[in-house]
Amino acid sequence: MTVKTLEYRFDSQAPASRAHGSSAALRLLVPVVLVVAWQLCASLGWLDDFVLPSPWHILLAYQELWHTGELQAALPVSLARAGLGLAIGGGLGLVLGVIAGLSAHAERLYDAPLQMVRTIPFIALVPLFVVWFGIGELAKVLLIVGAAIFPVYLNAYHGIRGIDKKLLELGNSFAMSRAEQVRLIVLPLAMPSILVGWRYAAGSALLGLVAAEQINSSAGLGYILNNANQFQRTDIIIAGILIYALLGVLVDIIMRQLERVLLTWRPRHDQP
Amino acid sequence: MNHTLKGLLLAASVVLSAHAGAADRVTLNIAYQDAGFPALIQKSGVLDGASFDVKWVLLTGPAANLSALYGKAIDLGHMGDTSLSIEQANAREPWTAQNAPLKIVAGWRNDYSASFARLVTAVRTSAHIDTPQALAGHTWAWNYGGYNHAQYLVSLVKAGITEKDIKPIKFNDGASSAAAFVSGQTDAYSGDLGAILPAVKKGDAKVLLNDRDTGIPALGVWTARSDVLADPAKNKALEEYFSRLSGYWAWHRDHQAEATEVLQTTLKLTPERAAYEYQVRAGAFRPFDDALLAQEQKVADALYDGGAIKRKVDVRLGFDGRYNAAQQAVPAREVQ
Amino acid sequence: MTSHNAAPRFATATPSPLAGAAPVVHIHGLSKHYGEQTVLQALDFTLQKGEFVALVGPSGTGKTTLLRIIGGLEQASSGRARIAEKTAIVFQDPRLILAQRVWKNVVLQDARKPGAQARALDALAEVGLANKAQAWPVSLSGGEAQRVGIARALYREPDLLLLDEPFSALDAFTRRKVQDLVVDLWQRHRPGVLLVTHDIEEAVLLADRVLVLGGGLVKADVPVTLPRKRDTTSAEFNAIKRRILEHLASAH
Repeated sequence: MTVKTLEYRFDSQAPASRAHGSSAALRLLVPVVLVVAWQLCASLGWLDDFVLPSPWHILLAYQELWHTGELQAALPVSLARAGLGLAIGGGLGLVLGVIAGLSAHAERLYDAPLQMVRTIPFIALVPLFVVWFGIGELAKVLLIVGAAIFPVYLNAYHGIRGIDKKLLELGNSFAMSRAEQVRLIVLPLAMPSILVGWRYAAGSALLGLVAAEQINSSAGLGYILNNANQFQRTDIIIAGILIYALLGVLVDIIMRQLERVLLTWRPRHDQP
Repeated sequence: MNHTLKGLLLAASVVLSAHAGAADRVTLNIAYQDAGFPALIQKSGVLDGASFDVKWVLLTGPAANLSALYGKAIDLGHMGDTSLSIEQANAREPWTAQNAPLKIVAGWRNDYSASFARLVTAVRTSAHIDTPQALAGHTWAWNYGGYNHAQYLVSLVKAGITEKDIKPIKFNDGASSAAAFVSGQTDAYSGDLGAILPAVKKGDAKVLLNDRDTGIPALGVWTARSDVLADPAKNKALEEYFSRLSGYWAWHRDHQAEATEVLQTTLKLTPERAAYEYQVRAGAFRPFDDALLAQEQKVADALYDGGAIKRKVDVRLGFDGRYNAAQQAVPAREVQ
Repeated sequence: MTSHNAAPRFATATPSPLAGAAPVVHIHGLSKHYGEQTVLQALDFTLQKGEFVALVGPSGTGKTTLLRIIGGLEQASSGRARIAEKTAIVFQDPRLILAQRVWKNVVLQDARKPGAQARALDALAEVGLANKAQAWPVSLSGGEAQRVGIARALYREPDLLLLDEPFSALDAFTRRKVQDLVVDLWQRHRPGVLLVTHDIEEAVLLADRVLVLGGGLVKADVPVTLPRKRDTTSAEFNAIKRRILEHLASAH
């Protein structure tokens, strides 16, 4: 009687590097095919330019925005607004989340009101923000603060609540002060969650621009989108959306790098 | 030494007096719904050398303008001429001549022309609707509030049908309503002609009724808070502002290429749309005379009858014609 | 505990030199109730520096509660106690902070103190982990992680070392190695050791004295006088084991 066997050969060198090269090509394959197909459909007249402008027309839209200088002006203005709102909102969310995570009193004091405020759609708040905070930068940045605060708050809070209580007991039994426990145990262990919160918050801050820049702006990504919406420029709308997508990818890259630096202790997907 | 001191004192006094002078200057915070108008006014130079400063505030949509007015962030808010009727109907306290918080102080539009109408009720050619009566049974895109809404309601009246006879598709803003119509999702549309211009030019859509047919003035207006009008310094500045702006319309007429170029680059318009916008942004300030107010009242009543507003309103409470003379306001005419 | 500003262990705690030979634990009339339930009942107990005591008893007899009270993690209901100021605990699970490198898990809040890292390396060298000082806890095996927990206690040069079933989560082979290590370290540093365990053989193997707890009281205090490097298969060893088992049987 014979047993069927399969033979395996293991070589850790060659196949790995080849797999790496082909995976990068694989990642690009689908987007490239899609764009080519999209352009073909448009060139063959299958697509109404109003419904979906061709990639070529979107490139022309970029050229137009570049030519008038709006694109160059929009990025610094919008990124500064989003960045400031993100820094304030994220910082506030972090502090509130950490305190609520550590103190049941604080959690009882403000978690429920924050949860209520969280569900308010910020687009609907634009007219109210104008009444409350005027038409200057304040109202715009506060809208973004509002969009950025909750993701960090929620994730910081849940990250801290998820820490093993036994570790805080360890801190107590080794005579660590409250501040030392927060610095050495709580924050490092909640960091993965906190970073997820910042990742979401960065996205929310960028989306918040569209609402914020309805208020008295003459420059910015949100302004470009709102204006294009008002005058039915589908090509500019899609061009603007693609910039958002690009910023999303950029945020992702930055957060990945941050995680690499801050979360060295965690096993990663690409490591055994 | 003595000279240096004198010099310093002199310099200081110059700085101080200049500062005091700047403080005396009135600043008007004036809202506009897109960046086109401020850019054109700048280009025309009609405000050069004015005794006041203007701060342009870009606020999209009537809600943001009304909010900014109530929040005292602006002196003039830009909206359509029906916005105040809706505001009046929604007010908790009914408006009276004494307590009305807001007043329309300027209204403008181009002369009546079929090719450059502001408001239309249009149908898709493929739907084969040739008379208003034939609109029955069709999908019809419109948006809530404002003169677009009025155009829709009066068109129903003109067609001799009610909302029950059609399939109304309601949107919150004109851009979405137009997008639905242009992309073929609805058979009919009431609203801004500019938003559906490419479809009309291509022959995919045609105009059934324009604002002349429905008798809707469709003015762009500036609304002021009553306390701004009661402020003598602001009142004086506004008087001068409108007097200077009355000269703008001639500049607009005489500088077609320049004005079109400004609109095209500022608002990111297609050349076709820019040509249209040039035309509908021409014209003059319009007087708040009995004829206009009667038209406005009819529109408000149509909004009430159509259920768009809950209360009958007296439109006169929302108009203040004190600047009509300074504006050199003339009624709109019929042109080709 | 290594510090004065620890959470107050007892309402009446005041620092003062321990009387007599050198008791590191001196407990008198200590009781602990959870509502109606009495866990410890007017318990008396003394542990000298350099002494290795094992605490055994059926589950629920309060041996872990007693250790936690001595370790300052719980409050007693009544009674008096005097505990060495320099006390350190090794828990059943290693309780390492995954986000801190091994040596920082040893020094904890001391990381910025001069010389702390060198002393951590010494402590790690004593448990055979000198080469793991810069490693992250996730890369350690179970036995290595528990040894880091021991190094963390050792670093504090405790007069009293509390061991809360520290070997129970280890596999049999590793357990023997870590047990030998603990005895070795104890012989070198001579702290008082209180070991809570449910393993009678382990208690007899490691301790000088085995206390049998039952009904909230010390039921028996069994001295183990066998010479070190004890043979678990010898007749004497098993005789002591049997005695303890008899006490346990009556402890219910």
